[in-house]
Amino acid sequence: MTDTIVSKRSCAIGRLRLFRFRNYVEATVHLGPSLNVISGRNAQGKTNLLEAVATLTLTRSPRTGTASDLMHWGDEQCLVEAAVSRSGGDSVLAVRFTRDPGTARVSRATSVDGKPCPARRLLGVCPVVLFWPEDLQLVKAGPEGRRRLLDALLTQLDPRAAAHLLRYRRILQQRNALLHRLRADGHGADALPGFSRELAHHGARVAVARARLVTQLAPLAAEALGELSSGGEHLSLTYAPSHGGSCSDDDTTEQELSAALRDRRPEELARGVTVVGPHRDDVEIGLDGRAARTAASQGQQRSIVLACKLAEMRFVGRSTGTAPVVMLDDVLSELDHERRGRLVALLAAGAAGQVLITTTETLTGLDGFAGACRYTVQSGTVRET
Amino acid sequence: MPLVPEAVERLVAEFGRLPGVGPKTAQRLAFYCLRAPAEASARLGAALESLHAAVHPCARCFFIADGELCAICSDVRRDATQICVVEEPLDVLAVERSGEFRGIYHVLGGALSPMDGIGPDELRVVELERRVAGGDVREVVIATDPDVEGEATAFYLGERLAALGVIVSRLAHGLPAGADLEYADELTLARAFAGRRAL
Repeated sequence: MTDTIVSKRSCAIGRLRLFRFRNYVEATVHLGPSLNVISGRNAQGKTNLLEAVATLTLTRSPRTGTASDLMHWGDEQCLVEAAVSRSGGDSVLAVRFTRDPGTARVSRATSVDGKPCPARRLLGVCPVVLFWPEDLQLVKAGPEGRRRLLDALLTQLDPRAAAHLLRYRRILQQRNALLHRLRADGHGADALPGFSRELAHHGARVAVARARLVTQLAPLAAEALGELSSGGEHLSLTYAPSHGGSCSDDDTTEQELSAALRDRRPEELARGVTVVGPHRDDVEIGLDGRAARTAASQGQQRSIVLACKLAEMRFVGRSTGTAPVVMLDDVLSELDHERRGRLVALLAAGAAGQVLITTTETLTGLDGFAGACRYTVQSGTVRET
Repeated sequence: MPLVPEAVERLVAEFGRLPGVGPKTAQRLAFYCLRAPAEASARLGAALESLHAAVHPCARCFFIADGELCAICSDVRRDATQICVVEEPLDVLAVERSGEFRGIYHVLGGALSPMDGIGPDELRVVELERRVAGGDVREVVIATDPDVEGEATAFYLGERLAALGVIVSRLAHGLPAGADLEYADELTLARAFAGRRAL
């Protein structure tokens, strides 16, 4: 598997082992370096297989914040391990979650080549781009999906921003707990400024990193839309911070965010939550200068989503020098014939390195890939077909 | 019938409650006690039993003491004009190991953590204010942890103590000595940069 000749710098998962992960008791899959089609009926474990790869490469599940959800029913631990072959050499990555039976707390242990190491050392080793069915609502649905797209990129590509993001989430939990209590009994108001200051410091750095990322993604997405549709519309992406600033540099943004927190304090006290900060920011998607959410047709919105995902893949490719592993969870069947064909052609032409696709139906139009591998998943077992 | 007698099971369960001890280590410790002479277990039991009777928080700084005041507070050579504020008694030992600080301490008993219901009233803040207001304290060094809770606590204390006319300082954030730059995490490195000084 590892000595397969690949035309460009790439990164591919070869052997993948799941132990007590979701509905898998134990499974080993040998994935091919190009296209892998994983089929099976619903609720057999196709998505769980992709989730396992994502949990390993991102060191946390993109689908759940509760790590104990990942464990096979009745088990106290689970493991995902994969041999990753890259141009720079092969390595074995592993992540293991263990639940302490006494405290029910779940701890995570990560390793590279059998040696324990901090989780951040796994990030970016094998860059991935995920495409879930809910991503198809990227334009129309609420801002969480758009923020998630940015954060997935920051987590993998910008360790500094990833560290600020992690810390920001913690501060937000603490600050919201405090505001909740303040609303209930007015207790502990003088502890708020300390948490506000921390929130503004780390939040500003998250917002600036995201805004910078959006300026880099925007031209790639506009270009991709041109390739996907012949309409000639212009796509624009703009970061829209909830505090209203420009997000051009860390210190100014920190001051702006602090000021916004001060201004909106009465509202925060009344509602018992933090109302301003990166967790409330958005990305405005415009088509020919109008909001795509309302102005674009259903079909155009689909094309914009695909353009954004392609931009994400190319951005990862460009910044790491490695075409990412792209995972599409039952997405192709949602697309019409024409869009599916164009997406597959672009994936095969190098937007993606290794591709993992799950599907419930027989997919056609995948001939662009050389050497596709096919698998069938049935109640937690994977069979190569 | 259970495989091991109840007395052993109970001991395993107790060891298992200790921090850093998993079920296997708990078993090993219990079987070690069983194998070792009975006096060893008696000594262990006596040591545990006398612990709470003999040790209590220092009346002034809340570090551990066996008299009214702890060893540090009763040492006349310590500089009583400097107070180092830490979260836990163990932090006192860490600062002491550095040998850098010759003042006295104040143990807060934790850090602000609204999620766990810990606000200023749950920490020994009033006691700290009373010490600062009532004595000849010149400087308060805040040495809470550099995590979210520790930072928020430091800021909070800074605001409250500023009114009392003392110098309030915070430990610098920086790189661990003896570690390679390349192994420092991003946040530590970013802070070390922000806190750099001229040579």
